[in-house]
Amino acid sequence: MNPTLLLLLTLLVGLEISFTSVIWANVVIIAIAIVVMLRYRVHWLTFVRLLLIPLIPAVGIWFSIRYFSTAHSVHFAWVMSTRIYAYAFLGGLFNAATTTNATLASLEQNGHIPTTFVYGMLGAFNFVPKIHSEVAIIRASARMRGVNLHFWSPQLLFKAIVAALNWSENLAEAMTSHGFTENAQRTHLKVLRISIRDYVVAGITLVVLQFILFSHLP
Amino acid sequence: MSIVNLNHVTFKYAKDLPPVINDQTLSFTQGTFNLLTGPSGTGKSTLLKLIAGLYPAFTGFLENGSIHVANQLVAKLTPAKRAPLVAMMFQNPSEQFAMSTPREELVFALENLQVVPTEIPKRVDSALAFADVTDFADRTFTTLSGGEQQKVSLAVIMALDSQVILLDEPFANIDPEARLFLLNRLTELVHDHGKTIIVADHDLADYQKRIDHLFILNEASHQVESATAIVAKARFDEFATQHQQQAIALPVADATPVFELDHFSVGHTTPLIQQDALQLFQQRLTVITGANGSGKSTLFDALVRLQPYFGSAKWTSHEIKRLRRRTYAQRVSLVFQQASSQFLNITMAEEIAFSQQHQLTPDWDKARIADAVQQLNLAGHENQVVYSLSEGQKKKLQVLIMLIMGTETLLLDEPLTGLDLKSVHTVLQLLHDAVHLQKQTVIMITHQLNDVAAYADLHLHLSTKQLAYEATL
Amino acid sequence: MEQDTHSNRWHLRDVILMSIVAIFMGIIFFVTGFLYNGLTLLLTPFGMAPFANDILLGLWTMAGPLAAYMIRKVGAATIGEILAAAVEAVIGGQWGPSTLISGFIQGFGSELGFTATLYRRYDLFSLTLSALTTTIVTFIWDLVRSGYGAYHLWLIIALFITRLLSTWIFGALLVSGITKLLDRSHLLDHRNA
Ligand SMILES: Nc1ncnc2c1ncn2[C@@H]1O[C@H](COP(=O)(O)OP(=O)(O)OP(=O)(O)O)[C@@H](O)[C@H]1O
Ligand SMILES: Nc1ncnc2c1ncn2[C@@H]1O[C@H](COP(=O)(O)OP(=O)(O)OP(=O)(O)O)[C@@H](O)[C@H]1O
Ligand SMILES: [Mg+2]
Ligand SMILES: [Mg+2]
Repeated sequence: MNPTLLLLLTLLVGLEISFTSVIWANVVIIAIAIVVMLRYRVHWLTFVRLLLIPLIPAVGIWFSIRYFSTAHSVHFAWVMSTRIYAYAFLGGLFNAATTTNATLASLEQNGHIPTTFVYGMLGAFNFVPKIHSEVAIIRASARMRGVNLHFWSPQLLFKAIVAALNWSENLAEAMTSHGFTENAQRTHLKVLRISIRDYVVAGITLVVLQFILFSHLP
Repeated sequence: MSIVNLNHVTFKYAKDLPPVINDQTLSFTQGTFNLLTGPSGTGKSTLLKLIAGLYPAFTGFLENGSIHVANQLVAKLTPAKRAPLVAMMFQNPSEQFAMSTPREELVFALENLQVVPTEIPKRVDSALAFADVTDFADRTFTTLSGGEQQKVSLAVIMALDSQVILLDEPFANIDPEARLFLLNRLTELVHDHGKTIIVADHDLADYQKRIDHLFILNEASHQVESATAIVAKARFDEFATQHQQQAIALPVADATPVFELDHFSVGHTTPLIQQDALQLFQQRLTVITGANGSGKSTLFDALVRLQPYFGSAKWTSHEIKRLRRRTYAQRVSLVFQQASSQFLNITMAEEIAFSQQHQLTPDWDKARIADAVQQLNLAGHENQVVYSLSEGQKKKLQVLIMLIMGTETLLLDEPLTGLDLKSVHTVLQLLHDAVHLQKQTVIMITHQLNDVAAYADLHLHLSTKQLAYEATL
Repeated sequence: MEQDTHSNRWHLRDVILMSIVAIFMGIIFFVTGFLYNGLTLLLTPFGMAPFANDILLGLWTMAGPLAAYMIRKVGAATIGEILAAAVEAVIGGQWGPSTLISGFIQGFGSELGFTATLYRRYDLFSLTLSALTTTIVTFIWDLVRSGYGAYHLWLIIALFITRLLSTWIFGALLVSGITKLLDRSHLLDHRNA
């Protein structure tokens, strides 16, 4: 599916289940996400991660609601736990179906997000491998000067921000030099469109969701 | 016909600072190859960025004057309109690409110029071929060496088809072979494609028969002067004599080792260095050379525990991977290839004070530091933010703050890049003193070999995954 | 600092800057993800799991005030926090697009603090105000989304106070500390000129 439409769809679904309390809706969302992820041949470790990481918060909230809420509602405890899993699996679905670059490209062409934001973020994302090694280098260079920086030292964060200031300046100059003009018209080698099929799928998904949410299911 | 015109240009970084470029009137002729030189920190980069239209848009104030490229006021053009007229290759190869692969970067640039989509692949392919980067067009930039990245940068400029090409010390981190390749390509651009090139460089070797004009930035007047034939010849002669290899000693049998490698290997995806046995020696100034991307920096990273290695690597008989990071960093430290990685403070004075506060030996007192600052031509910049120093100034400060620490073993990754000839000598002298007066061990990677033989004790060369001592440098 | 020549458009370098800062924070605070799980685990037997979220919330909402301070434009906090959320969605990937919703709510919350001073004050006062508005707005959101509304009143009040403290410590005190250093460095001067 077109990434912009998929993003809107997952956001809408996420928002709707935040305001309703239907366990079944959450379960169906999780099931659909699993099916989609299987279709995209997602690595099994991703499933393990998606099952394990929300486990602690899900269990935590179940206990809090079950024993410390005014109504001690078992139903609501399950709503909250499955809701956490539904969020996580919506994320898993989204990540399986698209890539960051595809999403940004689609947001530029289909979502009409200003190019400054699209390419600013893209430039920063493409910097991630460098940033990873830079954190290690900053700590190493501090050790060589006789100071130990921990992950929680404000000094490390400060140095990181100063480095970011410096990079953003250099990267912006470089992009400008390569002809990038803020929010100006650009051509596209790959033109992206939202197909009728995508609209139909999105429409059906939303209708089914409304049906589940408002047909008095638990 | 002149294509670049500066008319009484005065530029300042801040209103209360003296001008870096002062009342400059200057023009460059279309279809010529121009070389700009001058001591580090005189304003070469500043001038190029002014011509490229990046300044004052990004930084600073144009107090007076105007700059025209092809009869158009650069400041008034949008980047997309400007790029076909003037493009710049930056000094730091790793911070000039926004996309993750060379092909994506080229497509990005052409889309910016609103080239019709059907036209794009053709232009991308021919630009890639011109710069000889087709082979790694789809590899991510992080896996390319500095030399390869500079070639890609040239490909982008080719794709943009810019009339005026500005190059800011484009060969600073480049090995001699890649340098010659790029120089030949650039000469071709001038002669066969009618482009105008302005390149800023400290190392004038190999330029003499290629260029049309030599310009020198005068430190005192803050103005660029066109060099007369006599002055130009004198300048070029300084470099002509220094490229010959000189004899250098081989290690003696009874020297004490500082590092010992044994069935050692290191690399990222594939091994870059595979070394059965090697010793590096105490109280020597050892120089390491080798092509771009051969793994020199990776070796240093392994020696300071920033990179895992296989086999054994010992520092004074201790296995490096078993040493505690914190204490080991006080014995062996690294001057990074990227100067700004070294800085932890804001101003130059703070950096120096910080090193002094944590220094391990009392060898560097206030007077000696002040003397070194003077010799390195850094005086007067004490309160400047370190990131705004010129590239050469950063490099010199970086070496100085690590020397002040007085660490027993000091590794330096290309400490001579972007330095003018005088600074090269000063830095080499400081390193020489560290070894022979303070009894430190210094191991240094460098591509620039001018005059190094006079100060170095040993030469290690890296090729075909092996390090070996050589008798010449 | 002159405010008159000030435009509200985000420039390329602002976007890159805030994205990189967000990535940095994402990496540095990746550790807090473990902290969060550990805390939740510790608090679950007492039914106090929601406190883990409220104790650490200030960390997740730092990007907003930081962006407001560094970029100084109307909407900076909101856009900064959304950018941070987008970055988090990409690098962390865990909560996917729903992070964007929280990002918007948190950013909007921080923004109100600066709106209240008509974008004229950038100091501990406006940061504190912003911490307060962040707490109120995000708390209303969690009353619905995280089911806080179902708790006993005393628990709700305790959670609110915890959150306020957290956003104040991280979003006001720590941000103010960092920005003081930045001011002294004069690195932001020409951007905000
Ligand atoms: N943002 C800034 N604020 C204040 N001073 C600056 C700033 N940027 C550069 N300078 C100063 O302006 C002078 C010229 O810098 P520039 O980078 O143009 O020198 P350069 O000739 O390119 O030197 P190098 O050969 O070392 O690269 C230097 O003394 C530098 O310290
Ligand atoms: N993080 C990384 N992941 C993958 N490959 C890498 C990484 N870092 C470096 N490389 C590759 O490893 C090789 C060696 O890199 P290294 O930086 O050690 O070279 P070098 O000898 O120092 O070169 P230069 O003279 O250009 O500085 C290069 O081909 C480089 O592209
Ligand atoms: Mg320079
Ligand atoms: Mg290297």
